[in-house]
Amino acid sequence: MTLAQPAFLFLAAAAGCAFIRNAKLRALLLLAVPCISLLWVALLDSGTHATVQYAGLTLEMMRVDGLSRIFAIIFSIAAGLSALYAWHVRDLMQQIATLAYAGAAIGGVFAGDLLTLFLYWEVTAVASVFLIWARRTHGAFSTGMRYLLIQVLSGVLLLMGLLLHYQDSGSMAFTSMTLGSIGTWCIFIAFGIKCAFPLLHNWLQDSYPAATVTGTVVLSAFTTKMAVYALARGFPGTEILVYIGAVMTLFPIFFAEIENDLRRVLAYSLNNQLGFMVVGVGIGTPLAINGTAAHAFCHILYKALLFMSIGAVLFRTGTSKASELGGLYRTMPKTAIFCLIGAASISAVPLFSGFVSKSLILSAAGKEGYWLIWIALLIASAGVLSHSGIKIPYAAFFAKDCGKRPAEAPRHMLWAMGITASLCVLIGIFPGVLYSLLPNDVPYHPYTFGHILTQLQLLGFALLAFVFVMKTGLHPHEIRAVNVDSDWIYRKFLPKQIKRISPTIGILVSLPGKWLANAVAHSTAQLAKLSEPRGVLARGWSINSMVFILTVVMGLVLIFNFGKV
Amino acid sequence: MPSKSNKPYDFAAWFTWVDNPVRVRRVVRALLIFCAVLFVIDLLYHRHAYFGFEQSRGFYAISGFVAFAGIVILAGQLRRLIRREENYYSPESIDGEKYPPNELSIIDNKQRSEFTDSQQNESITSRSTAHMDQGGDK
Repeated sequence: MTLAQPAFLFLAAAAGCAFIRNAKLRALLLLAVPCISLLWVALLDSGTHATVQYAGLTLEMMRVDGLSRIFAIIFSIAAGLSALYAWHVRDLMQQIATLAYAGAAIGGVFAGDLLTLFLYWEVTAVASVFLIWARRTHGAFSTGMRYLLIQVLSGVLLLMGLLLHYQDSGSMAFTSMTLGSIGTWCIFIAFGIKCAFPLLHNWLQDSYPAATVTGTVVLSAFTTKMAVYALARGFPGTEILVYIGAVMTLFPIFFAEIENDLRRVLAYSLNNQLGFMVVGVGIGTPLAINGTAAHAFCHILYKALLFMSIGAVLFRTGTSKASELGGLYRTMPKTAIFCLIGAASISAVPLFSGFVSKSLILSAAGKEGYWLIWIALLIASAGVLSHSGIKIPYAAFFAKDCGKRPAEAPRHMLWAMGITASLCVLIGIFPGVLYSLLPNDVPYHPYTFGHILTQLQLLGFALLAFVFVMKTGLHPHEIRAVNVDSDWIYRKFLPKQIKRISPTIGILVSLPGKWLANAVAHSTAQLAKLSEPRGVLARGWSINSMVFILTVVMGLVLIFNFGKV
Repeated sequence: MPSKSNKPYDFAAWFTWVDNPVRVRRVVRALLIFCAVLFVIDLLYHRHAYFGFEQSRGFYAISGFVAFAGIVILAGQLRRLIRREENYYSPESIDGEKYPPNELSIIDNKQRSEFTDSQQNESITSRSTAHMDQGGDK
């Protein structure tokens, strides 16, 4: 049985990249590898490949089924599109990181056992941080350190969990688990950190805006969706996920609404979209799991598209802050159009991709009778329209004229955005193509009259509400500011407390030292006195007394060491 | 028409209405009519629903409006609680930093008298990219 798998192709290319001096050739490699991987994944037979026996463990490096295939396909597409978008990048560090990161994510979704998953889990953490550090500023370095710390914590928890789980069940296989033992909880929280569960989410909004223009596009695709895959594989139908997911869809929309950095708005929006997927995993019916997979697929595309368009604005103007932007449609109209297509897709406008995927999850929630969750998702859908559907394109390309007249995005960026936008529209018009890739065979028809009618009403009246809040001045203005989130606790509060009590601790720590120093000084002075001419030690001593002193000392040694014997 | 093909199509023409208050008002009026029509259809059409409350007339219209307005207004209140100045986390965050300009290709044409000649724009773009290709490989 062959060990070859798409992940190795990426990792080998990442290693090979280091020896290619020509930057353009490296960019070409970055583009070619995902294309080969896409073909490879599409042609793979279902089943387990590449089984390795190691130290009494059976490692399934390559498990191909409906669920892993759809994630591997979209990961390959995302890697290819971001490589096209990053065609101008000559930075070796970013190119290697992108290849290794994408490869590890694909390896992760094919992992049939927890140990293999853990290995790829850690590679994604380590490879991706370089996309943040590649900005090469002090702030980006600090942010990267925080990111790495949390990502590695997730990995350590996963390792701990898988060892405990192995002890309990005797199996390393990565299959559906039930929460209960400490081991499974550790695994669950490890997944939850990467999936940005509420209160474990801050790394996402902190780090994604800190990456490079192209790095953020790459980051947006893999880590969190690998975690969604892991949850869908490991904990389908775990009810707590329904509530976690519902909270995830709701709270980020308020932060997104008032955030100034548009790339951070998109990071909050990403968090909200993950909530929909987590709800789908929690419901766990075949329709709901289909919904999660479909939504992950569409989401990767339109979220990448939105990050690309705002990235292009950053590339041309030097800022992605809403307060510094506005009216850019004049000179960046194509980027504006692509941004609007991404906005329509994420807002689930009929004929765009979000409409055909999000409705699977809402239908599953409705069918299972989760009425409160269903209402939460409905409110969250209106929220998506407000921050991603309207705020992103409005603040960057319309609103008040900021006076900037940047040139249109470079041609390769326009191509990347154009292809991504076409995919969003194509999936929206022909959902059958996407549905044929889904893991479960459940017929679903998104384009019923009632569904289109209700969705258009929701969006139409939400737009009216937008007009209303704009006219009445209730809409929050874009201002230069940051908003504190729960990461304030470990970024401000705890460091401050530690600083405050550290002098006290310092004194406490230094006191014994001072005593010791005093004691040493004192005793050396005494010794000096003893050994000075005519001192006690300078006298001639008899052999008897020498033996006596030796015996006493040895006796003491014996007594003190008695307990240890 | 060879004379027309020389000048690329300017997509910005799609959006000029946003800066014209009269036309914006017209679009808003169109949106109102669109919503009114949807609302009337909803009154007449019996839709399939999962829950009883969902079946009630105008449920989606009202929830769309209320949810959107509620989110925006609540978010405005939230800002009063959590807003800090931009350098709050500096220097350990990127918020107060400028993006390193050598990574970017910033082109601002606002000094130019009239920005309508797309040809000129194109040449600037290609020149900057060429410059980047030479200089970026550090």
